[in-house]
Amino acid sequence: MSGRSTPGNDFAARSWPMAVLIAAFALLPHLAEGLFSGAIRQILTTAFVFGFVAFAWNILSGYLGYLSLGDHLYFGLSAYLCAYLLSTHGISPFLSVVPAALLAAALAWSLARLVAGLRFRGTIFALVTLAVAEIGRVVITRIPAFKGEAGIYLQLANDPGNFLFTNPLVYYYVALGLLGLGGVLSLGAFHSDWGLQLRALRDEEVAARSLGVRIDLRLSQAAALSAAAFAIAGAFYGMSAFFVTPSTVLTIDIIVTVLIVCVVGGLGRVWGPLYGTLIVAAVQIGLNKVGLSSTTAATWGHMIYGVIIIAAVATGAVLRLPDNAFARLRSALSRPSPR
Amino acid sequence: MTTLTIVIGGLLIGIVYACIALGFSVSMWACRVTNFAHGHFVLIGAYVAYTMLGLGLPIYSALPFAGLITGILGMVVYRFLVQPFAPSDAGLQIALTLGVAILLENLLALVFGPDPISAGSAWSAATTVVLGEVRLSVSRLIAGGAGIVIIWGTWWLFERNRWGMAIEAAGENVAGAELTGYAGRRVLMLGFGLSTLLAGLAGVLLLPVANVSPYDAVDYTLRSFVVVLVAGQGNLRAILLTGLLVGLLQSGGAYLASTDMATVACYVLLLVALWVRRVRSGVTALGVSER
Repeated sequence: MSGRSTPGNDFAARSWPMAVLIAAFALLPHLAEGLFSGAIRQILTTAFVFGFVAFAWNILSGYLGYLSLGDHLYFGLSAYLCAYLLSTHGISPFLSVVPAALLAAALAWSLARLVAGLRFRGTIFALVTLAVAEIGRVVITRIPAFKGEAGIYLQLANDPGNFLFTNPLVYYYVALGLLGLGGVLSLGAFHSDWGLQLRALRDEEVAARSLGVRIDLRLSQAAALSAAAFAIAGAFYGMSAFFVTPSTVLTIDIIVTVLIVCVVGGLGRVWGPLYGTLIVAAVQIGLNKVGLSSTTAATWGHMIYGVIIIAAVATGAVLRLPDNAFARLRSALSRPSPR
Repeated sequence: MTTLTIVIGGLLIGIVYACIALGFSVSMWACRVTNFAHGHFVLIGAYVAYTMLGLGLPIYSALPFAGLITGILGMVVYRFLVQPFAPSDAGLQIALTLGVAILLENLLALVFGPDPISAGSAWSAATTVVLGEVRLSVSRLIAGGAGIVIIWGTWWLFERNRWGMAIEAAGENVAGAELTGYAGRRVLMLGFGLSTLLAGLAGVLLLPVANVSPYDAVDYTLRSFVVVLVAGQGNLRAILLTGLLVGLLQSGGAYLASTDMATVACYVLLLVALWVRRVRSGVTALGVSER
């Protein structure tokens, strides 16, 4: 199980199932045109973006085991920044997503630093991130330039330089690409020394720290990575919808969906977010087909998710059993470094 | 509205917040469970009271009923979900209770509708008493008074009654509690039931005071977390004082700016408290201190 000997080959061997899946979804619009309605395209596009952030969130909350419940703030912050800069200053989101992601990462980093030294930090981290996201939601909603509850609307135009496309299929493919990127990130992180340290901290925190693994540093890094991914996804989401409002990009539903995706697929597993994405997309397509009125469907959908989360924790789909990460970290550290 | 009216009104509602936070504190420190659905138990209490008012029953009769329902529901959640599947891991507990929270929230929305409810004149037809300059709502006065009684009762239970001590002891050391002749796990279940019972009672007191909607629950959970974290472990007097402070912030902030800005002020208080705690804890070379 060593990812250190021949990383290249191992990577290919481990990632081909996802590559096949992504290729299948890439061909879907062409092979099954009848099946591929507008509603299904939209559900899949959103599901892929959420799958992408779920991969990054899973590194923080699954591998390391610190649940972050406030990452929707970074999603919304970035969506707002990009939409605002484009609509008033004409700055391309390709440019503005970079500072947005850096800002998100810096915020998440400092929040993790604040919490990392405290007792009961698992609980504190989860609830404090949620509280900070709530602060951010209120503040962003009150910034006059962001137009409050009304939000910012973008001109419906075909403008590739500003990531605006009238053909929604473009967004579908970009979302699919993001999903693949998330998978590569997840796989790479899992088998790296860095990821091994995260998992060792989750399983045996005190013992891992005794080997010199710094919880504060790893928590900050993982939180920043997740935040940056949420920022990228937020920018994408705002552009693809052509508008941003607090109730679409700053809602707690975002983080709950990501949590559901991870928990259903298996929190802490490499491909957990991918399975979760497929299951959640299937549920949504199912609800769409049943054709309930949208609010009732949402209520029932949420109830189903609540039951699914409970069931997933109950059946142990959430991987928390020690997977010997600590023992492997110790042997990895005692082995002479190949570098 | 005079300043004094707002201050006293805020303090009175602060007592109710202290009740809710006391429940959260019991589950967090005594039972070692992070209950993300704590605020949802508050709402269940409120909706039980609302249903009973709808049936023509007086609101005080809702107190024992809501307490019973939330207490038993809490024990069921603990016995059949938390204990078998997430006995100690904070992350798992949060995921699990978040699932319970989502289920309860949408169940409430489905049964009672998503719109806010209130029952301003549930206690008496006259809604305010005037004392000179100060106008006080009867509901708030009763809520504050009842809250004090509930807090006193909880204090008595944990400081003067062996069952309360058993709950605390079992949270610290289940095996040790069992050695002294208590069924440790059952005692912890009672403790968790007590925590949700406190939430349910506070919910009944809250219904005549505030608008209640199924989507408010997370606010109550977070608010009680603020209180518990600022007050520290197992310090009842500090919980009461911080509850009062949060009540003041909430009603003062709502008067000066708006409700959501008041909530923001609460959460900023949380960040400040964390920062102070971090400075005081003396972070070591590894970046971690255990105390």
